[in-house]
Order: sequence, then structure tokens, then C-alpha cells
Amino acid sequence: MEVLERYLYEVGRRLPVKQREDIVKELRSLLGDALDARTQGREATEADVDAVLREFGSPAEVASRYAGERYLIGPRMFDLYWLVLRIVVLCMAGGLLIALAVELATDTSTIDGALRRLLEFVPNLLTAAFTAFGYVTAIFFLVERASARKELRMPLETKEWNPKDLPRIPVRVDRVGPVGPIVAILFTLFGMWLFNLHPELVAFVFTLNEGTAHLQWIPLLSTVGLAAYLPLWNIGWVATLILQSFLLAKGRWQFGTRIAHAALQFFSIGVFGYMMAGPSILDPNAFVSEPVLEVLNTVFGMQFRWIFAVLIVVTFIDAVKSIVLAVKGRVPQA
Amino acid sequence: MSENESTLGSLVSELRRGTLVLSVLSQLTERQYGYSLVQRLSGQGLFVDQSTLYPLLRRLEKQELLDSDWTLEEARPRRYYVLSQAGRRLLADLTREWDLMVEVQERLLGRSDPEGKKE
Repeated sequence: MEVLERYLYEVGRRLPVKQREDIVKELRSLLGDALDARTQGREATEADVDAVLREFGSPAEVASRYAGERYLIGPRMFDLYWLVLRIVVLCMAGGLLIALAVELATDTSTIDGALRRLLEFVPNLLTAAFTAFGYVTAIFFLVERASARKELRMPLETKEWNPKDLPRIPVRVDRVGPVGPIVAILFTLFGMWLFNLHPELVAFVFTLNEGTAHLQWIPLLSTVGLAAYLPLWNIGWVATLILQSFLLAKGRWQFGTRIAHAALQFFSIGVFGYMMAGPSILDPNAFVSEPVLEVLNTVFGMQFRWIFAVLIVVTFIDAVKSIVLAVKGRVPQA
Repeated sequence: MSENESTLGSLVSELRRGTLVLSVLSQLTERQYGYSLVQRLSGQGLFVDQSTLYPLLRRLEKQELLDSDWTLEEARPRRYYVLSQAGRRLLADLTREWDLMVEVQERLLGRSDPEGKKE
């Protein structure tokens, strides 16, 4: 009978703790019945037990029948999980690439240092990717476990759907692939990081004297200008992140997103106008520190503000285009 | 040939899986313990894998279609299952559905006259 207890232990080991004792007790009773039926009153031999257990099936198989289907992340959440996982891993890889580029650009040490950074990049990337994968999976697993109770479960179909509500197949201009939004999100995040946390990195970089490897950093941004404009930029960037995430999820431009995009562009025009008229974003001191820059300033500084005029025109055209496409999308096509 | 056989095999087991709950419920108007139910079913020609049947009984109990209790007999505790109130109702509904299905299949297979057929 020892084999039978070993068998029951192996089955029980694979069962959910809550039901383990009860199921094992029932299995012991059922196996006893099966054994009795086989022996018909005579003493059970090892061969009898062997045959009965074989008929029942392997411990893993029996336990899996009791446990039902088990998974880390169920079909209800898999689509969302997959989307989030892709965004997180891609954004992280992009972020690390940008960080690498910044490090390489700002590293004033030897070639060896740069080479080491390049070599370390791939293992770092892999480690970070697996870490991100682990975190996302763990979070979704916890949500899955928490929603195992029926009342908390996310319904597969949230509401009755009507075939008439199926969106039109997007025309070519409306289609949005994943690359565009992801690149936009990455650059926006990079901009937020750079201008909020490290504005000093926006600088003229050059070697001061021939022969020395030292790089000279002249920060370009004026503190006054930055204090005036950064809050506005942040508003625009957050709006961009929301809009791009939406585009990424929907995979197409719609009336709402077109209008939101146009609104965002008009907001940018306002900011550009303010920057053109308000305090300079560039630090005037940066241009007098070196003779080279002074020359640059006289050539380039005069025209600097006109860049905003160009930006305003370009942005305006884009905003109008967006509105036209939004309205056109509303008109039923022949 | 063998591919055909395995297709048939999987289709037959699908059919059996679909009717298993009805088969089991039908035999539980009286209390039964696991092994006695297996024998009862096989005595009437339905051979069910024990490792399929026993978890199914627990699942039906969890769905409150069956009641169960432990009884000590022949020096062995046994778990007896019997239809609950809800189980009885379900059995009646499911039986009606089954009759309808048989009727339709018979018609589809050309073994009975189509209803309302006008000559």
C-alpha cells in the first residue's frame, strides 16, 4: 500500500492547497474501491495496485484534471498584456539607446571607455528587457489572480456589439503603424527628461585647445527663458504622450484624434509665438564667452527668432491639414 | 486511413464530452459514490475515464448542482453525490434540450419526416 500513498502524495503536491486534503481523501477512497473491485475479496498484490494506478493515470494528469485549466495570464487580459509588454520593452530599448548616445557624446574619457560602453550595451539591454518583461508579467499575473473571483472579472465582451458599429477599414492616410507613435513617445520622454532634469546638457561642445582631449561645455539655455517656457512645454508633451498612446492603441486616426492633434498644434503655435516675443530661450552669456561663438552670434543670433516664424507656419499647415482630414473622414465616401 | 481514424476519434470524444454532464446528472437522482457511479454508467454502456469523472463530480458540486456527504461504510469513508434542487431543475431542462436535439438530428439525417412538409 506504500505505492498508493506515494501516488496520493504526488497528486496532492500538484493540487491547490485549499482543496488538497479533501481531494486526496476522496481519491484514497475511490482507489480503495477500484482495488476491491479488482481483487474480489482476495489480498491485494503489488501488481493489483500497479494496475489500478495505471488505469487512473499519472499524478500530473490526474491533478491537472482537478485543477482545471491554469494559466499565468488568461485570455481576458492577454491582448492588453501583449500591448503593454511591447510598448514597455520597445520604449525601454529606445530609452537605453538614447542614453547610450548621450553617454557616448558626453563621455570625455578615452576611446577605451566608449568601447567598453558599446560592449556593455547588449548585455545591459538584455538584462533590462528581461527585467521589464518580468515586472509586466508579474503585475498582470497579480491582477489575473485578484480577478479570479467572478465578480471582479473583466468581462470578455463589455457590451453588446453591433456589426454596424464596426469601424470602417481605415483609408491609407488614416492608418497608424506602431513605429510612429512609439518613436514620438520616446522622443517626448527624452525631451521631458532632458529639459526638466538636465537642461545643462543642451550646450555647445567643442575642444578648446588643440592637443588636449578636453571638451568644453557651454550651456546654451537661459534660466529665465526655461522657467517661462518649460511648464508650457510640459503641458504639450503630456498631451502628446496621451495622444500618441491613443493612436498606438487604435492603430488609426479618427475624428477625435485629428481634432485633438490640431488643437495641440494650435497650442504649439501659441507657445512658439510667446517664445518669439518673450524672453530668449538662449543664454546671451553663452555667446560672449568665446570669440568663436561671438562670430556665430552675429551671423546666426539675429535670425534666431525667425526660426519660430518658420515653425509657426509649418505647424499651422499641419494643423489645417489635420482638420481637413478630420472633416473629410466624416463625409461618407463614395 | 489512420488520419481519418484519429479525426473520427477526436470527433467522437467531443460528442461524448458534450453529453457527459447529462449522462452523469441522469444517474444521480439517487445517491451514488464515485465508483458505484462508474459501474452504473458502464453497466449501461457508457465507459467513462475515472480521472475524467471524479473531477467532474466535484465541479458539478461546486456549481451547486450536486450535494455531497461523507458516509463511513465497510471501514471506508465514501463520498456520496446526489442531485441538488438546482441539479434536478437543470436535468429536466437539459433533457428537454436533448430531446429537441435528437429530433433535429434525426430529421437532418433523413430518418424522420420533416415536420410540416407539404406534399
